[in-house]
Amino acid sequence: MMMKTDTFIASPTCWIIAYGNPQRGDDGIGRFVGEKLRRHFGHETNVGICILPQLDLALLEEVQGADHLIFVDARMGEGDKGLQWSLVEAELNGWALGSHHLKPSVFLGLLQLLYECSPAAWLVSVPGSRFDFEEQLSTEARRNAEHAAAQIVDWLWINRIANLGPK
Amino acid sequence: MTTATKITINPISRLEGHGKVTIHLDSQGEVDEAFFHITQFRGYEHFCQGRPFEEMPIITQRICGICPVSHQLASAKACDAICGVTIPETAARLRELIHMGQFIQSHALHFFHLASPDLLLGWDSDPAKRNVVGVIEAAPELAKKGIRLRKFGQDIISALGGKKIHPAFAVPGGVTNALPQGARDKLLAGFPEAFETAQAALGIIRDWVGQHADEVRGFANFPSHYASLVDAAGNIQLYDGDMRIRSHEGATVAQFKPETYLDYIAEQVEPWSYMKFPFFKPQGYPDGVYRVGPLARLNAVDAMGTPKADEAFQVFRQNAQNGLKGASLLYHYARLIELMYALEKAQAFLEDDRICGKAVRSTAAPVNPEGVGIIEAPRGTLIHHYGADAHGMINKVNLIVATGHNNIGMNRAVTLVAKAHIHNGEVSEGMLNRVEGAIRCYDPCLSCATHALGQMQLTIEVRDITGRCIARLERA
Repeated sequence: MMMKTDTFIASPTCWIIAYGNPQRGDDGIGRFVGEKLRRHFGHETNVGICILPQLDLALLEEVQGADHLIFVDARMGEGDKGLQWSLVEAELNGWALGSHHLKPSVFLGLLQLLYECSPAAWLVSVPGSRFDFEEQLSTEARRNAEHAAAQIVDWLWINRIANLGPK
Repeated sequence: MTTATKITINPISRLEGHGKVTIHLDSQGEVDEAFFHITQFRGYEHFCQGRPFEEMPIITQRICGICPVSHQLASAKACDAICGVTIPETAARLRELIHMGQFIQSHALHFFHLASPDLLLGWDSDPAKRNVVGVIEAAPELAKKGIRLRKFGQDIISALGGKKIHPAFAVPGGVTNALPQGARDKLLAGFPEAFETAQAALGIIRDWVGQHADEVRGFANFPSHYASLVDAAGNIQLYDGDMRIRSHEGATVAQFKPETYLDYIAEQVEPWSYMKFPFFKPQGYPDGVYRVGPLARLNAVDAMGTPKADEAFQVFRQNAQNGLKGASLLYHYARLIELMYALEKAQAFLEDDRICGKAVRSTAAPVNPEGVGIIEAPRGTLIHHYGADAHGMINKVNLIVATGHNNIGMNRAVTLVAKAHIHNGEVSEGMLNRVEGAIRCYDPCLSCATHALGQMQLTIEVRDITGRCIARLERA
């Protein structure tokens, strides 16, 4: 069966970049949050939602007009169960360059360097516990992901970035 | 003799994989020998046993996140052979089209992200800048175009397989879905810019080779055999065809059907690496060294078979015949000619209405106990060979990937560069970068080669005659 290709909404000022591998259990938190936000925002033109298996340089061009970026990623949550919102600052020094791994801070640095674009950026880090070969989120990860999606909706509404508030 | 020194460089090397180089010095501080070790282990050949054969294209593409399409296609071809089916014409065209998308994205990635820093910024430039960031600072428009070119290749993969990494597309007997007209039109619109970028990159490497002819001649330049798939006319073939092995002098020493590859290729195991060492059987190990990948393909074939690539190929061949045929740095040049070829082939497929045909799969039960699928992946010849029982359950798997074929060649390249640049035990960062650069020419994928998991890393150690480590370059 053909899988759904990720699509982009035209000219948003805020991009939500949700990433992770849904075939590695709770690493699929990013996709889960992204899909939930897509359903919530529907045709909201000011918020673009991009769902990816991993951060990719190819996305730089798409988001070059953004004022705000929100990265959503899973993290190993052992001992630290809470959602974390952290400001992302651009950095390029010491970038361990391969093509397999790209950090939000480096993504931001490249965005600045290539497109002179310096949006305010947050990383929403959502804890998970099972990262094995499976296509479902653990119960706890699913709860955390739903919580993350709700917080992002609230944040966009409070900051008058999205027209659609919490339902 | 130098005193013990530890050299640490960050950022990481520009390789797809996790490996180590050790360079052994003699009592005079000159290079005695050098080894390129692959230190990761996976074991696909074992854990696939017992799985239904039709799962193999999905399982084995997980070997790699860079060239999953290549593994999926080689695997699907091996499964076609187990079923004894000829796949529909449209399916064959679609498979070849997604393969061209894979070539475009992989070759663009390697040139713009991994290789160009050495070429554009220099071997001895500041290691903190000698990466794609430095390239962006030096040539931002070129960098943007490079990123877009890679994305164009990924768009082809995504349009066919639903996503750009690990697509669900090739299956035994054909492919999962047809190409919609709208997707075809959208892809066709991207070719003008893609050709322009590829032409610019080709111009850069052609000029660089012209300006650095002595360096190219003296850098890991050695004779070997060269292997590629070819069509009936001797043109390059990336998806299908016979396997040809040519000598350094240009004689065809073997040309054979894929299913007979074991008559010509054998593998040696060394205790210091998890990667096996394939060799040309009639000449034994290690004399039967052959290379695969872009340079090898262009040395093994008679022509490219597309106008723009053939034009570039003629210029390339004149260079190669001028004592540079075995020059490892020419891999970069050859790679960009193949990039042009892949663009031409992809455009031709898309401009032909048959690409939107609806008959995309033939189904059949397993009838043959074995199946071999060979394709040319971006890094070189890729062999998937499966055995299956009467119920289609896999009972044997042999995978020979491009980086494996090039294992002897890469070790030879590392030794040659180390011998040329390390003297009196003195080691500089620029020298070690050249050793890495020798490996980088081959664009090895060490994950594929060990069929690996985790972060990619390369360590270089220089050891004196007592085995003491006197210098270490670690990119972590």
